[in-house]
Amino acid sequence: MVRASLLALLAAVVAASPAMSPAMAETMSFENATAILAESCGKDIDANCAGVNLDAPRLKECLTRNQDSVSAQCRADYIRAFDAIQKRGAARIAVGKQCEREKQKMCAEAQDKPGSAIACLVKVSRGLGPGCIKALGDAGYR
Amino acid sequence: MPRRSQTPRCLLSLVAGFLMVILPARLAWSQETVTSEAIVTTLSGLETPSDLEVAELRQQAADRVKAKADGIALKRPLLSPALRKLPTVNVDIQFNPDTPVIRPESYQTLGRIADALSSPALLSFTFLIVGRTEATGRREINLALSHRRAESIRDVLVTTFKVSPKRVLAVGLGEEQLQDANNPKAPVNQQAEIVTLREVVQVAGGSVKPPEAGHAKSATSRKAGK
Repeated sequence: MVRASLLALLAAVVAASPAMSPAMAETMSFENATAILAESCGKDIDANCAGVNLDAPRLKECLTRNQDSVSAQCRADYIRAFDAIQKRGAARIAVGKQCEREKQKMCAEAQDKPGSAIACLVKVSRGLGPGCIKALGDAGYR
Repeated sequence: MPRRSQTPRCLLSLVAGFLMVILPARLAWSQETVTSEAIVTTLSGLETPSDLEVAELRQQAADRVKAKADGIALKRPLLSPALRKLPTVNVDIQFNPDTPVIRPESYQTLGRIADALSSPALLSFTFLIVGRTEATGRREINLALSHRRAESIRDVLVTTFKVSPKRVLAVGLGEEQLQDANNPKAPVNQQAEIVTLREVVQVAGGSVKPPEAGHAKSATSRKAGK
């Protein structure tokens, strides 16, 4: 009985880890980050920050200010969720700069409209520099 | 003893946590769960660029409410039939009562919209967030509230998710653009809409302008087909 549940636990950890680890190490989608925030902190936000919108700096400030009354689950997760949102947003802005050389070299044709250079870079299979690859990955484009 | 009793609970919360990350916590969308990819596909399907002017739309809504025109909500005609023809995604976003504050259970929906709007395939488009209400309470209050809510969605996209402010506009149409005019009090009428307005073409060397749309200068000057 104990062994069975321990095995199941182990299986759950193994199954969960590939989904969790990119979230920890790299960036995660806005959708996943907001899901974590809502699941872990929804009740705390209602109780402590009812008038505060999903405005990252203000909501983060409110949760920090109310740390003492916020649930343990929320305290454990909210910084991570906001960091993920911040990182992905910043990465999307950084892609242009990080991939400047690659854009000129490999996607010079794809400049007709915003987004086409990125769509082109995503399809390039070799020759991208590590900075550009990381930026595309962090931005969730690749 | 403590370990034995805690293992299953721990396991449960782990599995639950895992599921919550992978699956949406609830169907926040009326029409099943719409994926970020589906939003991208829908919103990128702009065939004819729109010449819809948002300021004009706002004025039309205010004028109609002020004039008490189309006073009966049942089968009230659309304020802007032209708007209905553009690529649109309906989103079910919950707010705290009588405020523009988005409820936590709708955060994930906002995140999903932000993911979609930031995808390369949509970076060349501009969008209009349309706030709406069901036809209960006072019309002018509904118009004002829906506008604040549309602005609130826009603010979140811009400040929290770094969507360029140039790419998203907002307007509230209250109960003047009913989703289901046969049931004006139905909750479906308070769904917000995300509508693709135009595609931006980069001016590379020459002066490339988006093609002009040749139809319907004013939304109200044309009668809707239905």
